[in-house]
Amino acid sequence: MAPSTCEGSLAEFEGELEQLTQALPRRINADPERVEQGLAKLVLTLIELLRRLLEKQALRRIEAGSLTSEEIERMGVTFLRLEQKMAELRAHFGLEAEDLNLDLGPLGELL
Amino acid sequence: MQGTYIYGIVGFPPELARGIQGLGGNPVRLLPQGDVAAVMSPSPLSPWPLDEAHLILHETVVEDVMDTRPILPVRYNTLLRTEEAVIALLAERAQAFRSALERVAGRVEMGLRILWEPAAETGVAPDQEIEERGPGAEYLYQRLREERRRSRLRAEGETLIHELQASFLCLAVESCLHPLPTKRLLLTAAYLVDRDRVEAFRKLVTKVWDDFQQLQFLLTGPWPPYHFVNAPGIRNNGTFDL
Amino acid sequence: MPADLDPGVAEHRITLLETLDRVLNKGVVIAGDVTISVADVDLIFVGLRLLLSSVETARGLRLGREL
Repeated sequence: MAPSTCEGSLAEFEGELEQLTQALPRRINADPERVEQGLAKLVLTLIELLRRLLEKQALRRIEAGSLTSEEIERMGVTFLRLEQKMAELRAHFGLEAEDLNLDLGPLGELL
Repeated sequence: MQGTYIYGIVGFPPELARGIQGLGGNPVRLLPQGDVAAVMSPSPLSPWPLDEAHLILHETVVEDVMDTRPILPVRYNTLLRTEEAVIALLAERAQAFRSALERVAGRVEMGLRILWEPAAETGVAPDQEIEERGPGAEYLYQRLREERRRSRLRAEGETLIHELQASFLCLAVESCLHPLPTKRLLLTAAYLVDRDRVEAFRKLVTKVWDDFQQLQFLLTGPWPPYHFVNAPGIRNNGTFDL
Repeated sequence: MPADLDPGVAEHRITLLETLDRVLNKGVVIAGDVTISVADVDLIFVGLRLLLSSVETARGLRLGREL
């Protein structure tokens, strides 16, 4: 049955759907590399999870006013460096930022 | 052809109403174990390509079977080495399959996606002192602004979704929601609707849309019950909210 | 009318994307012992066993466990 919506927004829905489904693989993974890349994805996703948790913690402490300006600056620089390192690692394994996610089945996605 | 490709799970009997062609032109048949059966076709032991033709063919098989009886759709490229493996699988999960089949009997899934225009960013929050800041602090304060905005949006979105749900649940037996999956999408949802209420559901969505002109709705379906194969409370569409 | 503005084409693409989202990511999950459905869906759920199974498959080991 044809999707029903107002014609003007079809293109927009298409765009959002493409983002969500990230459907067809953009790269062809050669078999021997796939296991390594799979492991890298696992590890990097977990690092990304930790990074986000730590960042949220930092933001909460800033809001609570429990950090000095020096501490805020130091933490910020650390997060910036970590982000840069993550980008390098992703590039090394041929992963995009969107690749770092894990489907936990019934629990939904990790990130 | 050594392997078995699985399209879905059905109750058994009865046998399939008619001949259906599956992937690679192989015939689709049922492999029963007790009162449940796998909808299958013989298949080589390697994954099928991810292209439109094959994906649509898989979906067509599921929908053809659904024409005459309840089916639990199975994911694309589910291959088992032997028929014994299939039988073992069916035996092990018979109870879960049976309850799921009862839950979806005579029902279809309707898919809904809603676009919204969240209010524009309001600018620098007053409580932030404009002072000399290093790059680290600048980064974190920027992130703080982003997080605050995200929280506000999420709250706004959830209130709106709650309001919409009140209407949709009048005609849906169950729902599976994924709130705010992207910046532009307010909601992705699946509704389990009795077959004979699909038209009424469509009319309802149109009417609700009329009351919420600032939103854009996309309604698709009927679909096989992809989002309702697990027991309620266990959904494969949620996200951790960090 | 340019193809990408044609509502018929957009509708077709949306239908395809919606189908894709369902057949690839939703529905019953069965840990096939040859391969799991694409896009590493169950990578963490089955854990490293899944990664191993795609390697072990070549050696003919049978790991057909359901989740």
